Amino acid sequence: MRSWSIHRPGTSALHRANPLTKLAALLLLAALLFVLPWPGAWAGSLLLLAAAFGLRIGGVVLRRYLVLATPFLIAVFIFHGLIVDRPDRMPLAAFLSYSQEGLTYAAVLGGRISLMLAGSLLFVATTHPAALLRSLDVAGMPPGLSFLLASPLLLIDEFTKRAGAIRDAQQARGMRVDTLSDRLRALRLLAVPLVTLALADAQERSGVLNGRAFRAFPRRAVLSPPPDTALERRLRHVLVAVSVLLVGCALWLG
Amino acid sequence: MAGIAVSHLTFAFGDKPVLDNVSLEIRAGARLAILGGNGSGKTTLAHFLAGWLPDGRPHQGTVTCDGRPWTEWSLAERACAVQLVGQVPVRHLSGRAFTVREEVAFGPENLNLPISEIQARTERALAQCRLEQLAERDPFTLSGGEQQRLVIAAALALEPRFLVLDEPLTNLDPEAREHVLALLLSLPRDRAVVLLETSPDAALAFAEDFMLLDGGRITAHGSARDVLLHGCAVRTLGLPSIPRACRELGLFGELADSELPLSLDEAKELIKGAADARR
Repeated sequence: MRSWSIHRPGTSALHRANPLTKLAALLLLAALLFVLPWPGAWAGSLLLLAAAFGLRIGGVVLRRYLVLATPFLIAVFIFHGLIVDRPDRMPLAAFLSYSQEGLTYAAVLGGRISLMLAGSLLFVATTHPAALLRSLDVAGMPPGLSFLLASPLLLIDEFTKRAGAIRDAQQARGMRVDTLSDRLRALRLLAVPLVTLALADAQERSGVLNGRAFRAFPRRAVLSPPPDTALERRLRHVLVAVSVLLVGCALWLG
Repeated sequence: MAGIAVSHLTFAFGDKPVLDNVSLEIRAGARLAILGGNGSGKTTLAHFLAGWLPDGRPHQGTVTCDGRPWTEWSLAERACAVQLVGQVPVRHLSGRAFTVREEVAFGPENLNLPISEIQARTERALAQCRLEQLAERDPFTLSGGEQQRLVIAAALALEPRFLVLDEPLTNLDPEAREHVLALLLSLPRDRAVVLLETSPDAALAFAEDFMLLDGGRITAHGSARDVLLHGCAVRTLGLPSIPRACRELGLFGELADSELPLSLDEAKELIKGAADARR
């Protein structure tokens, strides 16, 4: 299992669903943000997190949700509720002020982010990246696009490992990291070889991809496509149509 | 001509000459070893042979396959004609596959081959490189040797007419080296294999035709004896195992390097001949 991955295999309907169907559901979730009042967005987040527990992947989804959402939500509430100058502001101390309007706006923004994050994490935890790539290939997405999606996921661990090796080698040869200024200097010294090697890798990998006929044709065959059914295909059409309708209505009604 | 032809190829990285007026031909079924020390230009030559022409860096001379310059070949045509296996296997992974099987299937999938053909080629290449047990593993978690076998399998799945291997044995343990050499020897004779190596023993175990690349120039070309016992090869790469053992054991002291036995059979013949002469 890769360090960044929160994918957990399973046999639930969500696990078995075609990744494109799940992507269409995420699109609907994004469209709902235009019409849901902010308490609805928060309630939706809780519902999705509860669903994750129902699928026995709640622990990993909740942990990742807290890690990603907490700093952002705190920042949003502080910035909009206590710092931004609004008409209903009531001074607290120094540059801080309390604003009901600002806090409401932070709740709206936070709810939207929270809902999309919970939905995305549920998607990622129930969808193997390889299945997503295969389904994008089957759908006829340009191979280059799916490569852009896959390569960072695949190479991040390799990159981290290499950064660790360079850092260990530098420290073994006497580089000190005792103080903050030492650490900042070490970061700069780490960046140079890391970026140089990454550029060399990129050049070599580009040769490898060309050599193995990547993007030779606009579509590529897929050895084992993820299961897909006529029902799911129809469902995807409905989900996309409803999403477009929701966004259209929201924009039309202002 | 049918095959890869390099004609008067000269190339430099900035002011540093890498290849100097290199000419060679690789015909179908060739078993060629190009030997050279570090910095002799092997990797650059391997790139040119495989059609990996350097972007934006001018070169003189031509590299053609079946009489057409590589620049006139489509990606799909080139992939079926030639494959390059590099010396750092992790850099030769596609970065697009989450399992060993997907990595091997990557090339045939790009060629849009029928699914049954992709499956057959993938399973065949996995078996050839003894990777069946690792088929569901993440390519990035394999050892260096396993990754090297994977890169070779990925190249074989494209069934190229020319296979260019740039120091493919570097990361392998002795058993894996033996296996890869046996694998290369077992490839159908209609495929040409070019092995660029620093090790005279690996070249001797595999090749029928030999070249020595020194300072970017081809300085010797011919049989194993012509090249591996050439003064320049001995100086930069050392003697192969058998002649070295003869020297260390003090055998055939009267012979020049170029006359030393290259194989055990040759050594036995010489010893027998010397014993007969004493009698």
